[in-house]
Amino acid sequence: MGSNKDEVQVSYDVSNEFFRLWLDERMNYTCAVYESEDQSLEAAQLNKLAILSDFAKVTPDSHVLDIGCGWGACLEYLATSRSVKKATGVTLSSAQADEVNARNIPGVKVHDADFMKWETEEKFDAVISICMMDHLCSPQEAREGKAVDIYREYFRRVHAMTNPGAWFGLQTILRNRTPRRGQILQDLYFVTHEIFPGGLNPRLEEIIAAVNPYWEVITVKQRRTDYQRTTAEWLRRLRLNETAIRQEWGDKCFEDYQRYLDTCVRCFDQHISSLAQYELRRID
Amino acid sequence: MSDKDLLQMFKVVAERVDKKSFADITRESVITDLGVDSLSMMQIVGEMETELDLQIPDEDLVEIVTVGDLCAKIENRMGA
Repeated sequence: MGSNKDEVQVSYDVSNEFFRLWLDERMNYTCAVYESEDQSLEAAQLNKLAILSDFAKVTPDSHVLDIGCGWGACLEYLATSRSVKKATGVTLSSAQADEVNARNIPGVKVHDADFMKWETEEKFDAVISICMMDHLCSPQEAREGKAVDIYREYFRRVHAMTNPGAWFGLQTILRNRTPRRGQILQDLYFVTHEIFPGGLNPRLEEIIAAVNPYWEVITVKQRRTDYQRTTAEWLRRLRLNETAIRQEWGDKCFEDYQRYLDTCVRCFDQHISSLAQYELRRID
Repeated sequence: MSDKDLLQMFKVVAERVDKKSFADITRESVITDLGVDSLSMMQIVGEMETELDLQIPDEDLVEIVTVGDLCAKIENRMGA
């Protein structure tokens, strides 16, 4: 089923300190949404969290589930900026779960688990999931025609864990055009094998097909150029820290991540990849 | 263009891309079993599209498992 624990650890467990050098201060490792030409990455990341929290209709009394919570940027935002009293995160990365739980954010608990197997007695009023769906379906499963069924099972599980009246703020990276030749094809192959093994970006039409019969699509916002700008900023910050990264994590680490981020920028520019945010209403 | 012509075209293009012999392929041959990875597969698709002056929709590419699947996608576009 999609990325396994070992594959996710390849993607996220290099070292928390490594990622801290080139992501924003809250370690958002997903697309930011820019409101203006001169907005900082930090402000744009908060803007992204605000949009998804609004899509999920979060209130201070909502019990919020964050699926694929990463290093807890969204959970911390919910607790501090939206006064949410109870928020639960799930991540397949042990390093991320340990890091977030060690911060003792009031009302926040993170589970180190595979969401597709995770069992809970709790029911949630609002759900946020940011760029986790690309870990659900492997290329092999997609070739076997299983992608939509796997995504539909994800939406069924979220539905089963929520109370009637729940809302869901979802963000997914997307694949669109497929290159047939050139350096971009070689680079994309490198990224999917060396940086994000086991995963596959969904297509927009697969997501739209899979939400039924569990969630109603209210809004879809396309954010391709925002992700291009986000990855370009990550690349700029990575290069600013080149000396430190080469010293601490080695030349290969720096060069692999430079190639990965440069590939991302070109993939968004050339419509090979995109990103969408969805406002989903639970079908009760 | 006949089935046989497309199969022959796949063989010639695959040999050019992967620089090895694909002597015994049939429409039932699973492309990954032939030792063709996803990188080579896309290059083969691209070269066949160029030679035939057509384009398989991106959303159909993930469904191509056998040589016959690829031939069928091309035949669909030729008939479109």
